[in-house]
Amino acid sequence: MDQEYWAKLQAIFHRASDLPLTERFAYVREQCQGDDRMRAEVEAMPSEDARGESLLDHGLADAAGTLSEDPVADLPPDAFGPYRIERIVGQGGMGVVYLAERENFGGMVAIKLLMGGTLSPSRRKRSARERV
Amino acid sequence: MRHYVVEAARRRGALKRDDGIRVTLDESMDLPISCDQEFLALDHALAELARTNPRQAQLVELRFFAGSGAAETAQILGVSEETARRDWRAAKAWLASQIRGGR
Repeated sequence: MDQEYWAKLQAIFHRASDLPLTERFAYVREQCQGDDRMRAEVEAMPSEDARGESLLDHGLADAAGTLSEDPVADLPPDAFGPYRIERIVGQGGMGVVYLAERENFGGMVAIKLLMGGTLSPSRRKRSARERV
Repeated sequence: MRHYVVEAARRRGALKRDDGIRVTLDESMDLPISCDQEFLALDHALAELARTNPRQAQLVELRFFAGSGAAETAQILGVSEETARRDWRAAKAWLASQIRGGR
């Protein structure tokens, strides 16, 4: 996919999304003449946009909850992104706390991995406070 | 965060392969398995977007993986909120259709 393709695809998508359904397909077909890949890709986009139920719409907390019911068994990590895990500092009902070091920059941080990806409002608040 | 989530999905996929796949009818209706595949498909599509438009891929990382809001994202990327909103909407629709097609 080159930049020109992507720019054109987005322009057609935005315009097509504003059109009534009855005109949309004709418009997309006309704009994408000779490019079947682009036509297929653009045709699928407005319905995803309108549905708003993709992984990206649901948000990470919802989706990650299905991945990490048990972070310890699931993920004996050696790193989170640029943070290299040194050791486990603590473990409890809420989750696990790791001691980690930021690669290249140095400096130690604590990373708390919460059990259950979806947090209740009170746990979310508490977690936000702890970030500081 | 993206790295963590995608690695978790990948690891689970590898575990499933190692064990052989034993899926009961109930489990097959469950979310996690398809969810892993969605994350891997998202990672793949996002890598393609990053090659074409790095700024827009960064926008997706900020909005989805870092949980930034529209205004904050626009500020970080140095674009107007309207641009950030349009770019997010198009990227989201494209990625969603890629995920649907790829799983």
